[in-house]
Parts: sequence; C-alpha cells; structure tokens
Amino acid sequence: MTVEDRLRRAVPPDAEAAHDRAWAVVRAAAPLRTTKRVTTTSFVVRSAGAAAVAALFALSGAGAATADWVTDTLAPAPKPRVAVQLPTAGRLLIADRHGLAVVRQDGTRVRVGTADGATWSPHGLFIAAWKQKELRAMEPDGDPRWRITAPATIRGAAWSPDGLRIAYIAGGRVRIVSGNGMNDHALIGGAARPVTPVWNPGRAQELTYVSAAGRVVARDVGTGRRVVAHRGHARATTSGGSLRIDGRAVLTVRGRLGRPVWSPDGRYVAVGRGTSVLIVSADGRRLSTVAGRAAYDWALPGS
Amino acid sequence: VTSSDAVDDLRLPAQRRARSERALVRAVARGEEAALAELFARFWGPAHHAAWLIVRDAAAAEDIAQEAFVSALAHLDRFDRRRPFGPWLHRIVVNRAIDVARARAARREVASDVLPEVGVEDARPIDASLLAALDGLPPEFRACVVLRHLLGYTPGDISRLLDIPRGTVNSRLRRGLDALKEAGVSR
Repeated sequence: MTVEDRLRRAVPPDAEAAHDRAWAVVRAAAPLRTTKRVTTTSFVVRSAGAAAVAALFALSGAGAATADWVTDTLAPAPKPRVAVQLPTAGRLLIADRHGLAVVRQDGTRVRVGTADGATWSPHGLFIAAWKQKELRAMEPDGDPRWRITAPATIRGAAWSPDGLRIAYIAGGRVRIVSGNGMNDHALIGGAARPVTPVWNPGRAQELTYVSAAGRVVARDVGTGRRVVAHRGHARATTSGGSLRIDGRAVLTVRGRLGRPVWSPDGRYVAVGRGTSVLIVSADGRRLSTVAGRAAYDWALPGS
Repeated sequence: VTSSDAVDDLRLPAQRRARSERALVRAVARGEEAALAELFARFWGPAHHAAWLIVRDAAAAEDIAQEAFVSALAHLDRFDRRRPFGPWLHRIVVNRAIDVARARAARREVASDVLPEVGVEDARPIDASLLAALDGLPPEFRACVVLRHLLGYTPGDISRLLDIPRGTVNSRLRRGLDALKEAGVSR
C-alpha cells in the first residue's frame, strides 16, 4: 500500500460527527457575509493589477499554476475570523450551544466537548469538566488527561488553589480527588447539599461547602477536621458590649462594641471597641487588639 | 510512471474541477444554500483530514478546519473567483494547523510530567505505525507530507502555499518519506 493510500485511510476520529457540527456552524455563518459584493473601484484596481502581472508572467513563460498563485497574492488568504475579542489577556471558559469552549483573547474558540460544568486549574494549565457521573481533566485544547466515574451525578467541582486536589459534590457527599485523577474518596463528615464547594484561597487544604443541614462548613480536607461553621456574616451580631455568633454570646466586654466583620476565611471576627479593634476567634477567644476606632472590611489575602 | 506523469495525473482532474468550483463559489456568494452544501461536501473532508494529520488532535483539527471554512466564506468578496477554492482553503488550514501543533508541542513539555494520561479511549482501528511516524516529524514536515501525498500538491505549489523555498519543501518531503520508510510505512 502506498503512502497516499495509508494517509487517505487514516481518517480523523469521530469524523462524521465533526462533519455535522461543522456544517451547522458553516451554514449559520455563511449568510452573514455571502451577499457582500466587491465595489466597482476595488474591482477595477484589482483587475488592472492582476492583468498587468499576468501579462508579465505570460511574457516570461511562467506556468499557469504560478499565475494562480499570483492572483492569490493579490487577493490574500484571510486570517481566521475574529469574533468578539476579550478586553484583557487570558482565556475564558464558556458553554455555548455547541458545548464547552475556551475563548482566546482574539475571540476565537476551541471546543473541548460537552459538559454540565467546568473549572480551570489554578494556573490555567488544565480544565476539569463534569458531565453526569463523569469527571475529566484535559488540556485547554481538549486533549484528555484522565477521567473518573463518580458514584452519582456530579453537582459541582472546584480545583484547589495549589492544584493538588479537586473537590466535587456527588451523591450528597463532598468528594476529593487528586489533581492527577488518583485517590478519589469521600471527605469524612462531608454530607453536603448540591452547591459547588469553594476552596480557601489562603489555605489550600480548607474547603468550604454547604452541609446537608444547610450550614456553611469549612473543613480541612487533609485531616477532616472541621475548621469553623457559621451561616454567614449576619450571624455575628453585637449588642452593647456583647458579641454573639449564631445567637450565642461569645464575648462580653465593658463599653460598647461596633459592627462585627468576618475574616474572608470565616475564622475570625474584627469588632471595634473604643479606640481599638478586637480580633476574636469564632469561638470567642480574644486574640489581639489593633489600634483603630472601627473595623470596616477585611481584604482577601494578596489583595 | 515518472514523477512528472504523476503530477499531470493529479492536475488534470483538478483543472476540470476548478471550472465547476468557480460556478459553485459564485452561487455561494449569491447566498444559495444548495451551492454552499455542495462546496462544503467537497472540501470539508480533505481540509479536516489534513488538519488532523498535521495537528494530531481531533478537537483542534475540527476547530481549525471549521474556522478556516467560516473565514474563507466570510472573505469570499476578496477571493478571485476565477481561481480554485481548494488551494485558498488549504493554505489557511495548513498554516493554522502548523501554528497549533507548534503551540501544543511547547505546552506538552511542561504538562506531561505533572499529570499522566489515563483513560483515553479510542476503539477504532488506527494505522499506528503511520501515525507514530508522523508524530515523530516536526509539524512543518508533516504539513509538506500531507500537502504532497494526501492533497496532491506539487513541491512548487507547496512552496508557494507555505511561502518557503522549493528546496526546503524538497528536503522536508525527503526527510518525511525517509521517516515513513524507517517506520515501514513506505517502500
């Protein structure tokens, strides 16, 4: 068998489906541009140029094939169509009507299959995508790296900031899988509602999720230890000199306490008292005092 | 059969086809869907096939061929309709495939040690020795082999299509065929 024969027989995988998808896109795109006509002026200028150069080649005896390419030079091949460009550097992961796609800064899209949801790895090297019970990791061009099958439909996933783990919700449990697709397991005590979990950006081992009872729970995924639980910042309240968390008085001081502010990881509360700000742990332990009249906000690490 | 005979064999049907291509392109420019369907049916397969053999990734190849087709249609007003459509489309496809293959090769050097490939499935029978031999070639060499031996372009055409000297095309074709011979793909 010749090289030509073998190349012809080495057809792309999934070629028929690719044909159908491409036809749908091409058919939808074609009417947008196909009615445009060459303006009279540009046609005359271009025709004159083509005629002049063609005459030169006729005199030099160059072949018809060369003349073809001269005309191509006058009517240069277009660059790939530019869609809506992103306003900044980076790539955007989106779901469009054809499935999952990575949008480059120039607006072009690379389709990476279909999914119910997807998320980037922290440095944008990989994508984790899930569909029904399947969780898979791939490169941004769709090249697959690994995949696992969860015990139940996946309801959301998040890649840890250090890239070492992916947390996902399936079957009413938080599950953790290593970034290389190994060691998939349920998190101890991780009964959860179908809400995408969130990693603590400053502590790569701490995962926050909504428990089966509807409480926001932060847990160390290495040890399984529960870090803190609260229902949101509104649950920390002050009344006179009393600080209450979840309705329980955790600190009482003389004088009057200001508005309490939770730290981003939900571990601490800052509350103004006179000319200072108290930093208090979620269980009410007073940890430090910072000079200042009131605490207004607590920025994320690195901001 | 000499090489020039082979070239003539390839050119004759292409020239005959070019005449109807012009009519097709004109009809597409008028917005006739039937003409678009015929143009797509005629050119999608080779474009997609060539992109896949160069970039060696199914999703990327589909994307490249699709972008090229949409781009070509969007710029039909700049296309000289007396010329064949195929070389115009193939120029876009092959150059884009080379760019993507280069970019993927650069990324893979970083990523392959971090995450081992697990669970990739493709149940279809494949010509493993051919694909392995192609994978061993740089993308520019693969492109020359594909343009010559799949799409049937002459070395002179390839030189103009890729905008590289003809001698470079010949050396890439020679090295490509040597690699295929070593892999037992060609005699």
